[in-house]
Amino acid sequence: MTPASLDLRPLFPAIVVAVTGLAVLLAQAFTPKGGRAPAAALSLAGLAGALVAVVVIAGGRGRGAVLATSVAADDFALFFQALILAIGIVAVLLSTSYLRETATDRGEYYALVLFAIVGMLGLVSALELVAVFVALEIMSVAVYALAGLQRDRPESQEAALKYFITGSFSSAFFLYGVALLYGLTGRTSLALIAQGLRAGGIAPAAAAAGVASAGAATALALVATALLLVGFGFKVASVPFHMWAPDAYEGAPTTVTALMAAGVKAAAFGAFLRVFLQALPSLAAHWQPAVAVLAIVTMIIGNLGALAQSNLKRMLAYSSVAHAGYLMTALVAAPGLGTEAILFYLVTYAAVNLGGFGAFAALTRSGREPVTLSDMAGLSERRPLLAAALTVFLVSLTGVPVSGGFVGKFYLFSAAVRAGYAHLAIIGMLMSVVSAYYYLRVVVAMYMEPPVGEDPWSRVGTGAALALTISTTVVLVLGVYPGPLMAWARAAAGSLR
Amino acid sequence: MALFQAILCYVFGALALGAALVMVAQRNPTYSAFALIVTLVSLSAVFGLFGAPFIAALQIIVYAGAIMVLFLFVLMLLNVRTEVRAPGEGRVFKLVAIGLGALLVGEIGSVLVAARPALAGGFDASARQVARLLFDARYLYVFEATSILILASLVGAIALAKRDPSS
Repeated sequence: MTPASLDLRPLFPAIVVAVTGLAVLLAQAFTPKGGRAPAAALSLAGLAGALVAVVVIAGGRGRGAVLATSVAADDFALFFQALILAIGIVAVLLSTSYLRETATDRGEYYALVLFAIVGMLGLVSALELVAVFVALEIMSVAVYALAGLQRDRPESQEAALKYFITGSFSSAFFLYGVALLYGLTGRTSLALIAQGLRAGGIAPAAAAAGVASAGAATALALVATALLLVGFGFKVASVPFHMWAPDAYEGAPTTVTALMAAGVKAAAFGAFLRVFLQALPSLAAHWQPAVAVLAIVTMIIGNLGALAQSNLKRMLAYSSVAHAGYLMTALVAAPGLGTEAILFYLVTYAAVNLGGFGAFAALTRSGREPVTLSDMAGLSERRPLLAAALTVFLVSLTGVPVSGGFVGKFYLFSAAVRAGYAHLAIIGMLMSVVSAYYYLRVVVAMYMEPPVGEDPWSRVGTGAALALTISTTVVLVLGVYPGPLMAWARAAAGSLR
Repeated sequence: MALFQAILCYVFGALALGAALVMVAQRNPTYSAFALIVTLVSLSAVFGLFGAPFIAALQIIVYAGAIMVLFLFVLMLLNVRTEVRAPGEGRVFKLVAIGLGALLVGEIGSVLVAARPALAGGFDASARQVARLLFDARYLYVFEATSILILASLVGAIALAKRDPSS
């Protein structure tokens, strides 16, 4: 293949974001000492530009383009890329006031956010395992550093270290799985691996390595699948690979936590879906029961863990674990309905988490963040709009009707039921009832308890207000009018088959 | 010529093994590091003799060069003269290590017995071939994306380690 025939369109959004990241770094370098480069504005411009690029590609002939069998701009990739870029824009909007109040306002912050987004964009569009791995590492490395950016807080350092060590460990698992699949089939491309596994999975290379029988090949393929499952399990924070999540979510700067809960989870689920549905469909009978078990323990332990938390960030961290479980119930039912349900739910879930963590970030003043229930007492009197928005997010996390969360959970569980996994849906619904206790406790504190002492919280800045408005609107609109997004999700899910 | 190559191969193989043993047995960490350099250089020679000059060069540049410099730098920075033993590193630890070692030896033995240890024929591991693959359209994206990975790590490391101008 000559360079002239390389189709770079699938890469375009990622290139725009990467170049913006470089521009942010350089702008800081060329700003006189003591001055501040307009890093947030640059980042917003870059992310918006990339979003426009995604829309243009989706509407034009670039739709479905593939770069050298390794990166695709199919509907699935474009859906996720639009979601990730929107998450990035909201996260940047939330960041300016929070960074000022916590004295972490540094040029590197925005550059790292942009690089993390480049990784996420690559993760959901990669058609080939080496590309998946490199994208996964770009995203992870940037987020490890972001988690530790508040260096004067020991919790932040702890978060970065724990996330880094467990994350690197999980990357090693993932890589081992990739190596085994490559050894078996001699390919790294998802489609060709699926072909190889279907054909019995014995490549000449595997035969030379002494794997002579089809049984041995299947056994090796299953080990590889298990290793990939562990790798993705870590990234989406499913039990039993969730130990890092509460500490990392609590210790990381709150806007980074929002990015982790919304963006990292969405991108990881995107790659999870693509790798398992495109490369390992012939082993589905083996991995689906395993995912089902993981989903059950994740839902139960996530929700019970959240019940016991007094720190709100930790509570939302455990809730994020629980939601990985809900999402995995539909993964068992994928492809088809399950995939669409996951795509739809990831959108509402991203909006809710950006809003929830964003509300905490918006209230932060002089390094002090609201972290306990008593911090939320009487918030409805001091910040009526913010309290109302936070109520919408918590209600949506519980899955009460007229919120995006209800519609999302409905799709997830009905996909599971139709695929014959009704028990998963029942456990999911029971656990949603349990979750009402810890979510609504916050609402009760905000509305039923009187405010204590002087108002210690910051006024909600313009950027944060805009971000919270966007999140609230998305949650409410999806609750009453989910049709168009569901249609997009269906088209996106269709391109995985 | 083949005989000469075989002799060299055994000589460097023995050197690599011997130096590895010295590295483990040595109490002074700096000497251990130097013994590791001998192992790595000998391994590189073995790679070269097996017709993989590119891996041989990488072995020297990356391991014997960059990584060893890092090791020695840390050792000298911390000024460690003798091995410090962590408390609680007792008999259980040794038994587990011996068990895992035995498992590895058994595994290697069984592979040597079961599979014919034949070298894959017509295998081209020259620098030219590696470069062809690296710039092949299939891996071009990964190759370029790695630069973003390295940049992100670099920026992250600096952001975490840099002294705060305000404090």
